[in-house]
Amino acid sequence: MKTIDKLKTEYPKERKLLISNQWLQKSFLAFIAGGFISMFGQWIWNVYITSFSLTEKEAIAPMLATLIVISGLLTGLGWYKKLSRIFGAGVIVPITGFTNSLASAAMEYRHEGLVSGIGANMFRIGGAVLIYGVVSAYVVSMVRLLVETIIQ
Amino acid sequence: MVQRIGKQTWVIDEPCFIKETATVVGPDEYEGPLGHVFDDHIDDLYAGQSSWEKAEQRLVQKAVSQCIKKAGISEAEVDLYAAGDLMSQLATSYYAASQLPFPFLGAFSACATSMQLVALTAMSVSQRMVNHALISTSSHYGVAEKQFRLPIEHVKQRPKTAMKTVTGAGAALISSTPSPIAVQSFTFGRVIDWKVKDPTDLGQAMAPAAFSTIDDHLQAMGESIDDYDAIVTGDLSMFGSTQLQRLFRERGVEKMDLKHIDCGQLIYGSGSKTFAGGSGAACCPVVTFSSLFDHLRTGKYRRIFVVATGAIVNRSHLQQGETIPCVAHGVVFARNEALEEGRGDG
Repeated sequence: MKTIDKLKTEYPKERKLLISNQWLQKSFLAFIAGGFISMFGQWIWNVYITSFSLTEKEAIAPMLATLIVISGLLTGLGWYKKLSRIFGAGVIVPITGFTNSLASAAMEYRHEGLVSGIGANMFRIGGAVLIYGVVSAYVVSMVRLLVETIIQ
Repeated sequence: MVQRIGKQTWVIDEPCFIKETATVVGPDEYEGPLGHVFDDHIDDLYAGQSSWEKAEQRLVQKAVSQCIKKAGISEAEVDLYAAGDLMSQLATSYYAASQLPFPFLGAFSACATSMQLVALTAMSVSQRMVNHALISTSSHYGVAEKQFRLPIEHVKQRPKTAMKTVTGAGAALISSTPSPIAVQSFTFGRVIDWKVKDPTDLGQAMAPAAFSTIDDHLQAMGESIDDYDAIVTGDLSMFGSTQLQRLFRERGVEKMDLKHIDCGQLIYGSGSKTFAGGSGAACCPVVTFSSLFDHLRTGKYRRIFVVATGAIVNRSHLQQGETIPCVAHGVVFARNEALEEGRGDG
């Protein structure tokens, strides 16, 4: 019979052991799913270049827009969540995951009005991605500029 | 009268009964293994309302009206109404109560609210302050996710230990008129914090609280787990339940796994997609007030100890690096043998 204090110190260590992870299987599925979405994006890009006679650079934006629309629709229909149950983080990593975070937040707050509901809460999750995306882009560019000037 | 035994346990001398109960659940709970025992269910999370918040109020109103109807009393006979839910400021309960003509008390101890309310109202009934006291607790998957976590359509990777908030409401009428189920004693738990920080692993955060309440109760009453047909916990889930049983093994109680029942595990059944089990303020009452009370009425159980467990998951505090404090309140329900025998004689 152990005392409460002893149990208390052993407890946090042992509870970690209880939760076994299936990280290998899950990362494999995520890799496949993420790769498949990216491959699909590549295919759309190719189609846009050939059928709409766009340049490679011009075709990027419509390709991304197509993925965003598809992801938004799937979120609205409730299918995106079902896909994520099977494929895990693979469906989060491409731009589709970002769309899902915006669309899901917008859906959740739609009863609170267009402006103070959807407008104010749409970037509740996506906001952090935007802020740190922009900030880190600036930081990396600054470092690169600095290194380049020093070398020259 | 209520007599205090030990530090945090009270025994009710003057008999006090559960006159009637009513449970209303959501679609997933209705499809679960206990679906057939609930009184009513809603077909989707909206329950015909325009938002989840309103749907939860609807759940409460349904449970309350059903309970009063089943008990066969008029609304005027209800002397006190006490309710709780998970929403901040107990909004659901207050909005639901605004449609009802009863004096109202709101109480919050997260998912342990149901047993706290049973104990508090049983106290006032046994002191004969009131004759009929009505309680209800509710929770709603969408409302809880919106308040405590992320939008429900947002995809995120949840660990196996994560639980699903039960959509539903349970109501009970605690009364001084003899009925098949009696409230015998109760133990209010201390707030226990074993420094668990993971809000997706509440089962294990709450296990020590349940352990402490059950242990204190048994010691105060001078009983062992053999004196009960079942020790019921509210929402410890798979992982919390194994922890609770392990804590009892360390205390030298070997047979806990034979007596222990967890409402969160019962409601969705094993092998469900809902991860480790159900949680939420409605989890304990909808299972206890339906399935377990039926067992008491039919005589399968004679005496059960129901411990509802609650974890305080406050987003701001967790973000500031605080841990999760937990509480568990337990109530002993027993089959009213005197009434059953009386009926047999008659």
